[in-house]
Order: sequence, then C-alpha cells, then structure tokens
Amino acid sequence: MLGLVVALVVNALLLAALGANPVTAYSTILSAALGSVAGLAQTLNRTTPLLLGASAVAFAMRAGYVNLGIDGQIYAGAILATGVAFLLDGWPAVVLLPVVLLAGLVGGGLLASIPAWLRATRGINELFVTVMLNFVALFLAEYLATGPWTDPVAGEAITVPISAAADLPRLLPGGGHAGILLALPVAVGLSLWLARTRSGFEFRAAGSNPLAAGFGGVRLVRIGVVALVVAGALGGLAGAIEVTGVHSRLLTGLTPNFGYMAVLIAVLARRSPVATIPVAFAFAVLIVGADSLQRSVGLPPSAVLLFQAVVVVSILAFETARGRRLVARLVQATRRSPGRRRAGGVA
Amino acid sequence: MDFLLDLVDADMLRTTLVVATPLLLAALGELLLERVGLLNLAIEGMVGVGAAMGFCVVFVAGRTVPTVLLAIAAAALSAILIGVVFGWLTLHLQANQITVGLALLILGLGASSLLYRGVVGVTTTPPSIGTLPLWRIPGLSEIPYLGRVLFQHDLFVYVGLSTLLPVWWVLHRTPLGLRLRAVGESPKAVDALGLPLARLRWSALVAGCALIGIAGSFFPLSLVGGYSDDIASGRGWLALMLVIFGRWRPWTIAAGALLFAYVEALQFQFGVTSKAIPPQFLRMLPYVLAIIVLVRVYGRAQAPAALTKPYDRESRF
Amino acid sequence: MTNQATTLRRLTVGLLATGLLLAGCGGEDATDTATGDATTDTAAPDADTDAATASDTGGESTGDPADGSSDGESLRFAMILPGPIQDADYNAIAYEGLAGLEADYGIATEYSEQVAVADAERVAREYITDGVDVIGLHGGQFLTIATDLAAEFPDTTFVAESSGPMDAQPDNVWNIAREFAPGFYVQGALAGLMTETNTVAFLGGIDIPDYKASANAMFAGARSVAPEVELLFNFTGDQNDAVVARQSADALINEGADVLVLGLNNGIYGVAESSAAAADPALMTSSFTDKVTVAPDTFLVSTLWDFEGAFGQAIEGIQAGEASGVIPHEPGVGPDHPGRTAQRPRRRGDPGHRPVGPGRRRRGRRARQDRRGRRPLMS
Repeated sequence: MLGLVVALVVNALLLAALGANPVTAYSTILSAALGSVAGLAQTLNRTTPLLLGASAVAFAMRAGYVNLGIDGQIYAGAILATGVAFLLDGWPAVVLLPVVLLAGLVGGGLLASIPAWLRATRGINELFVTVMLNFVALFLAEYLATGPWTDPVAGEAITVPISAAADLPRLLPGGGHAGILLALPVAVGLSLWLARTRSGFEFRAAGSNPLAAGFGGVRLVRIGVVALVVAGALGGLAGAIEVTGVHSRLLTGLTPNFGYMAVLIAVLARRSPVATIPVAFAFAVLIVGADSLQRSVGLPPSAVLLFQAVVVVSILAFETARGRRLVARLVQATRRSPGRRRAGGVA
Repeated sequence: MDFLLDLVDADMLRTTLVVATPLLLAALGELLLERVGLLNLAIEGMVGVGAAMGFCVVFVAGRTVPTVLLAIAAAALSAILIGVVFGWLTLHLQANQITVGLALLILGLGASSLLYRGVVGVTTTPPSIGTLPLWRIPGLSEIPYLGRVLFQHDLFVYVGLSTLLPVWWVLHRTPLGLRLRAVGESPKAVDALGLPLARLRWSALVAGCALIGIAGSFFPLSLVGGYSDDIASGRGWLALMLVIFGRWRPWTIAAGALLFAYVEALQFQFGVTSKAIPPQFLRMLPYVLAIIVLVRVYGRAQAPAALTKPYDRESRF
Repeated sequence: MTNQATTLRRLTVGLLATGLLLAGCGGEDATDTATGDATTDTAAPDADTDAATASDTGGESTGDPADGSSDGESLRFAMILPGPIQDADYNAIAYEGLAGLEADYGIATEYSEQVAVADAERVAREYITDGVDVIGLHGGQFLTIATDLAAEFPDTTFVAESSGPMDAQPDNVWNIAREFAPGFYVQGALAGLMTETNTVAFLGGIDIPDYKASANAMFAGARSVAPEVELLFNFTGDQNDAVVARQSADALINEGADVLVLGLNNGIYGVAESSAAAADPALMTSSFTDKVTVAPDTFLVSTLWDFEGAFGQAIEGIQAGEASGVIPHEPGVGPDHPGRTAQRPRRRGDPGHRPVGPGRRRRGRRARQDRRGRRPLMS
C-alpha cells in the first residue's frame, strides 16, 4: 500500500515538472475509467484480454513454464476466429458466435502446441520459442490483412469486417462487450481447478518441485503440454474476443503491449488466476485513466508510459519483504529520537 | 548460378556486419547480466533510451569526434541509470526480476520518447545528424571481395564487433570471469567463499547496461542517422533471445547475431528478385530459422542455474 | 557524360519536375466562405445556436446553416492521431494543421496522439461525452470506429479517412478519400527521367492495396517517359523500421536501381544511409513531408500532403450545415486556403501547442535549420 502512496507522490512531482496539475490529473484518471458507465464499459473491455492473458500466464507459471507468447497466441486465435467467421458467413448468430470463439481457443492452442511439443520432446526452452512465434503469428496476421482478406477502402493493414452475427453482444452502453462474462469464469475456474482437483494438485506439484513430483508419479511431460496449450488457448480466446467484440475485423495492432502487461499482472498476482482479476482491473483502470491524461492535462503519451511505470515500480519496491523492512526502519527512525536504540529490536 | 551469387553478395554481407553490431553489443551486455543471475527484460527500453540520448547529444552539440564520444558515453550512462534502479529493486529489495524488468521496459520506452520530444520537439522536417564516416582501412580495403565486406566500415562497427574479444576473454579466461559465472550458478557458494558478491554483481550490471546503452546509440549514430520512436523495432528483444540462442556463450551469441542479420538481409534480396513469396513470409524467415537451428543443432540449453532467483544471505536454502 | 554535364542534367530535370508539380496543383480556387476569421476568444459563445440549429439538412448538422459565419466557441474539433506528433511525417502534418484550422475557421481544436486502434473507440467516446462536435480520425484503420460511432451518435460529425468511396457512408461522416497513386505517377516519371542505369525501384512498407496501386502508378509514370526502363519493387513490411529499409534498399541498389521511389514513413532514414554507403549512391523521393534534411545530397523530391486543407474543407462543409460528404484528396486537387500563409514556424503559446518540459534550448546549426519551416505546399 505504501508503494501506491509513493507512486502517487512521485507521479505528482513528475506531473508538476511537466506542467500539469496533479490534482486534476488524478481525478481525471478515476473519472475517465470509472466515473461513467461508458468509461466503466471501456475499462472492462480493456480488462478482458488482460485478464485472460494474465490467467493464462499465471496458470502456466504454476506448472513452472514461462509463456511470453501471449501476443502471438492472441493473433493466432484472432486469425482462426476471423477465418471461421468468413467461412461460415450467413450462419445464425446463436451458432456462429460460439463457433468463432471456439476457433479462437483452437487457434491459440495450436500455436502454443509448438513450444509445448518442443519442450516435451526435446527440452527446448519455451521462453525462446514462444517469443519467436510471436513474430510469426504477427506476420501471418499482417499477410492476411494485406492480402487475401484485405479491405482496400481502409488503406491500412486491416481486413474486411466479419458479419454482424459473429459480433459479441454488447453488454453495457458505451461499447462494453460481453467478453468479461467469459473471462471472469475462466479465471475463477482455473483457480478452482488448481486448488481443488487432484490433477490441479499434480500441476502445482510439478511447478514447485519437479523432482519430487516426478518421483511421486506425476507425469511431468503431460503437465507441461497441458500448461502451455491451455495458456495458448486462453490467449487465443482473448484474440477472438478482441476481433468479435471490439473491432469486427482482424488487423495488426490488435495487442498494444498486452503481452508484457499480462506477464506483469500474473506475477503481481503471485501466479494465482483468480487474483489476476482485481490486478487486471486495476491495470485497466490505470491504462484507461492515464491515457485520458493526454486530453485532460495535455500530457504526451510518453509521459503516460512513464507514469504507469513509476506506479508499478513503486508498488514493486515497497511490497517486497525488504521493502517493508525499509519502510519499517524509516518509520521507526522518525519516531525515536536519535541516540537511543531499543535493545534487541528488529531495526 | 545467380541465386548462389546472391547468397554471398558483398554489399549484403557488408550490411549484415553493420546490422549485426548492435545485436551483438546488446546481447553481450545482456550476457554479462544473465551470467550473474539477472534476467533483464528491460533491454528494449534501455536500447531506446540509449538511442534517444545518443541522438539528442549529437543533435544539440553537433557531430565531431568529442561530441560523438560524449553521445556514446551519455547513452551508456542512461542505460546504467535504468540498470541501477533494476539492480536496487532486484538485488537489494529482492523484487521479482521479471516484473521489475517489464516495468522498467515501459519506463525506458516512455523516457526515450519524452527525451526526444523535449530536445527536438515537433517538426515537419525530420532532423538528421548523419552517420559516422566510413573508414576504409588503407590497403586492406582494396582487396576485391573481402575488402568491401570487412574493411569499409565506420569505427563504431569495428569497435563494436571487436568487443566480442574482451568480453569473451574476461568471462572465460580470467579469474574475475570465473567468479562472475559462479555468481550466476550459485551465489551461495560464492558468498560462502567470502568473495565480494554484491560488488561482482553490481560491476557486471554496470558493464552490461553500458554495453546495451552503447548498442542503442549505434542506431542513430551509425545505422540510420536519425531517430524515431520505434527505432530499435524489437531488436532489444532479439538480443535477449540471442543470449538464449547462443547458450550463454559469447562466440555462439556472435554467430547467432550474424546469422540473424544475414537471413534478414537475404530475405530482402529474395524479395527483390522473386515475387512468388509474399513479403510477410520472408520476414518470418529469421525467426523460424532460429527455432529450427535451435532444435537441430543445440538441443538443451543450460541457463545459469541461479538466473532470476533472488539471493538472500539470511535464507537457509 | 562528364560529371559536370551529369550534374547539369540532373539540376535541369529536377527544376523541371518541381515546376511540373507546382503547376499541377492549380486546382480549383475554392469559394472562400469567409468563415470565422474570428479568433477563438469571441465573447459569449452561443451554446443555444447548436440546439436551435434544427438544420434543414435533416437534423444532423452541428454548424450554422444560414450565414456561413461561425462563432468561434461553438464548434469543437478533436483529432485522433495514430502515431506521435514528433514523427516529422504523417502525424506531424495533421498536428501542424490544427493551428491553421483554428485560425481559419474559428474552431477550438484538441488532439490525442499515439492512439492504438484498440484505444481509438474509447478515446472518441471520451471526446463525444466531453461535448466535442467533430471528431477527426487520421488514418484508415479507424474507419470501422467512425461508422460504428456515427450510428450511435447522430449528433456528432466524424471526419474519417479512407482510400476510396465508402460502401455505406453514414449521414454524419465525412470521407477524405486519399489517393496516393497520382502523386506516385509523377514521382515515377521523374525517376524515369533521372535514372542513368535505366533501373528504378519502388520501396514500400506494408503491401496494402494502396501502396500496390502506388507502385503500379509509379511504374506507369516511369514507363511513360522511358519505355524501356527496368522496374523493381520491394515491400519491407514496416513503414518505420529504418534497419529493414536499409537492407531492402541495399538489395534494390544491388540490382541496379539508382532512383528509389519510397512509400515509407520513418524508414527513409535507413534508405538514406544505404544510399550513402553504396558504391553508387541512389536518388530517392518521399511523401508527406519534406525530407531533404535526411539526405541532402541524394534527395530528389517529396510529395507534400496537406491534411489541413482536407480537414478544413470538411469543417467548412460542417459549418455550412452539411454533415456528410466526400473529399477527394489527391495532388492537384484542393482548395486554396483563405488566410493560409506560407509557413510560420511553431511558436510557444500557439493553440494546440503544448510544450513539454522547462522549454527547449536550441543551439547550433541544426536548430536554425529546423526553424526554417516548410516549403510552400503543392495545393
């Protein structure tokens, strides 16, 4: 908590240095993100992919696997979802939408199966492969958006729109789509599975002590594959949601910084999928709110990035054990008069 | 026959060396960091800050030998600054390296853009500082083929590529390097031996970040002569990947950097002559190739054992 | 040819080409509707005029229909930019145009930069909630957002950009139909005239239909003046990556091209370096802004784009009561602007100008070069 306070103070100084009024700035952040139904809708929109991505990363981390390929998996899911939407154009929404979302799951899962298989059969570091595949998926999406599916009128790397039947229903006025209704149960479900089922237990065991788990009969290889494929599928779902809920098209630029944010959120939530819900929401509030600083106090977007980074760094600094000790020391130092030390105190 | 000649075209190989230089510098810097157990995900941000700083110094002070050196030093310092924050958070406060790295990545990206905006501002005529003059080594540069490929570069390229030697030497041929590598494998052992653990880690941190910052300054000073917000375009991440690809060894990292730059240049050579393949698939080539090479040639890569693990002297394990 | 003769030839052709371009942009002298030369501090803004404007065009207009003059405060215009305004390219020219728009039409402008497509809808909604009357979306990637939001907010007018006629253009959307191709035709002709190796090349970024059309136009132009010229092309896949631009330019120069027509944004830096390092430097052209500073020795010509004029036309129409229309945006077509001076350098205190930091100290030769301002525009 102190981290947040420090973050606010440092950012206030930063804002003042750049010529903006900190009070206006802070009130704008909250009001933009939460102050209206439309704002809340947009914040939830932004929460959905972050939540799915972070749950995916947290889930895989629980088994001991690092999945930095969220961006690629989002694209892969988006690609397959768009393709299926085009293929089955004309089907009624009741059938089309679930199929399209399913396609997103499959797309992401397929992409993630590559690092999974490589890790399972040859022990190749999945961190490397997932990052490489990010680029591959991005280029594939760009190819489709500039080639076979392109919309010539747009003049950018963007496809023709998918049929309206495949769009996610709008939940809230202000453009809020129903994706959050999918993301929340997923996160909760993952945590429940990890905590309450036997296979979930094996999963966690494999993550915390592979050696012991192996001796205990846990099939590590299978766990690894499951971890990565499921993580990929969730990323793909996020991609499908972005396409059907936000853009109605496939385009490059689908995932501004989602990959990093997802990993950040997952670690901040201590790798628990259900804990990523509030953290992802907080991040979405920060992103949406800080972005509106551009308009309210005229801050350039690079300053907004700095702002976000300072918040995260401050929170990180003060939530570690050492950080808390530092804080405790500072607090005690201001309370006591110098020259008098309490014997045996944990200073 | 033409096709085979295309593969070894002198100008293309020449550009390969130039493009490989920042990759190599950044990867060597990251290597130093990872060898002492620090996974630095902020590398792209440090490269950006180095590029912005390098550009701005020359933009403001003109391009002469002392100012270029100053620019490079400033770039190194700015990366070190971010590195110090990283070090304090991860080594002293023992926060999670991945989150700190990502947060500082965002910080670096924002800071570089802000710096450029503050110094240069908004303009419709893009400022250019020009690149360093080529230094054709007399005599050697006249050799018909090799001369063009190897001996007609600017000083930054020569020095940059040759940092491979001191890094390799220090890391693998000196007692200091042995200790540094030991830190990455088992900080507890190093501490138990009474070696100055913190000092080793911090010096590796400073040296590594300096190299990364210098790699950043390469882009405006030597590669393109200007600055735009995304000037590194993911090459920081690529350098990070190269460390893994190169199995944490300097020479294989260098080979990886050259391979990547070569394939990248090759894809454009192909792009011009053969139109059958859409350009995006050609762009995928380096990355797919990297995976294939990793699978075929390397198999399991052994990371330093204590990578990303915080070391707390007071803990029992 | 001797060196002197070569230089002379290049100079002559260069001058002829520039003259050609300038002449080509005669265009129609637009009617000057004498809208608000009032500054933004007209007293007592009539908020009521908006409500009372039950426009004859069907209730979607946001401006004054009758007398053509607009009160400075009542029309708010917000521009959404996909990239940074310091890119000295596509986004910078739109940003720089804002001050002119304020001065010429008496409107209040604001902008957001670096807006990703995923954020654009939210940003637009924020503006609409805030009471902005006209939303300008500077880029074809925002087309869907424009049409979707237009349906949801019939009282707000949108100015969108695309590369052709829109299929179902809503009643409150203006469409700036950008046509890149004609400008590239001229550049192609110039390339065909300037080449000495009889090989010219088009170097593009993303191979979208727009740029494919531009490449074809360039080829047609080159062939029109030099029927036997060899045509090469390549797409780097990234408008702003200077490193791949450099490698790509290398490949093209290796194949013999000595004039490169560029369809890149910030990637031009790489091309300049490639050309400088090549055994035979190649000439280059560019678009959007004047980039001669990037390669003083090898730069030929740039097609300058004027978005201020296009957006101005839309605003004019909006103030006259028309909430929808199409503005064909190509070289040689476009109104002359009333009150548009040849360039004035950006000053602190200009509307829309937000300085960052304690102030910029400009020293040295470079600084003066930058403050020199732009060259006169084509249209």
